[in-house]
Amino acid sequence: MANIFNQILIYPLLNLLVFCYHYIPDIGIVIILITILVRLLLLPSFHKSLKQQKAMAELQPKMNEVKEKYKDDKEGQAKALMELYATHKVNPLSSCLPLLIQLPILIALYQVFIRSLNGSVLHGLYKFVNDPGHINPIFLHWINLSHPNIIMAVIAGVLQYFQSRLMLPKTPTTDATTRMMQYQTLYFLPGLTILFGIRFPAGLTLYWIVTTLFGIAQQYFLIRKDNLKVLNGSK
Amino acid sequence: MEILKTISRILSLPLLLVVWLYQRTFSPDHGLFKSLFPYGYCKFYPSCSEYGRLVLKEQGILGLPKIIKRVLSCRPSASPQIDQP
Repeated sequence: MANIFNQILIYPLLNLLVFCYHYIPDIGIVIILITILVRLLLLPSFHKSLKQQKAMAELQPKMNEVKEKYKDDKEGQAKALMELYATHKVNPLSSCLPLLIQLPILIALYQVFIRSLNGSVLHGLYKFVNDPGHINPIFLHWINLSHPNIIMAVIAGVLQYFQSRLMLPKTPTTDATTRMMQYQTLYFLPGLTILFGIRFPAGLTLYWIVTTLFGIAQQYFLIRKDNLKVLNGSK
Repeated sequence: MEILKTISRILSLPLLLVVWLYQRTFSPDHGLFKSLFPYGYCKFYPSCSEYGRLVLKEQGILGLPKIIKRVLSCRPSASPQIDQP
């Protein structure tokens, strides 16, 4: 099982990393490039979600009606909403399968960064890829990516906070539990990011910073491109 | 037959624990981040993890093919549906 995982995901990514390193002899920049590449490949159908948001805005009054009708019945509410989506042919929902596919890719990426940064001999290189012996973990002649870096961890945490805030629905809720949940989301993930960041090599933190920035840019684009009215709900 | 069912149920206990943990942490429909998805996340009702939990409780690991089929059908192209186990 571990071998299959190596062959299918880790080695190709590792080889890509070493291949790029041959031409760009700064592992930090290579990590940034590969992160952006992977994010681009994993980019969920972006235009679709834009269209969906527009359709959802038009459906908002009906949704509020349903929510009002099934106020105390969470199951009935979910069912009614589902029926509403089906009859109006909108689809604001994501799906579970892509989530499951993404997970191994992300784990492999983490593995690759760790393996390439710890300075040991690289296993699993293809014949046509130049073996550099070991990889110099200094980013921009300045930051050692193989050691934990607290400042980068904090930056990653702060960015994470902004991303969560952008993703939160803008409609203020009066429901206390929902608000609690939102605060939890807002502070839990950044806290976790910092905690991990001060333990793992800074290469991973760099990956996390880039991927979060990508997410923020994507979200921001979504807000700008679509009118703000959509995210503000139907006011 | 009864024995087979019991074994299947017992073997499903670790999986039920995994689902329980997942639903309380990372699950976008039930977990810590569900407020990020005001319309819900999963295409189906009940959500895939809830469906899995119900099937495991009912049939044990013999229900696994059913669960795998469900998760595989939860694709971006699928339309929202109510799909009780």
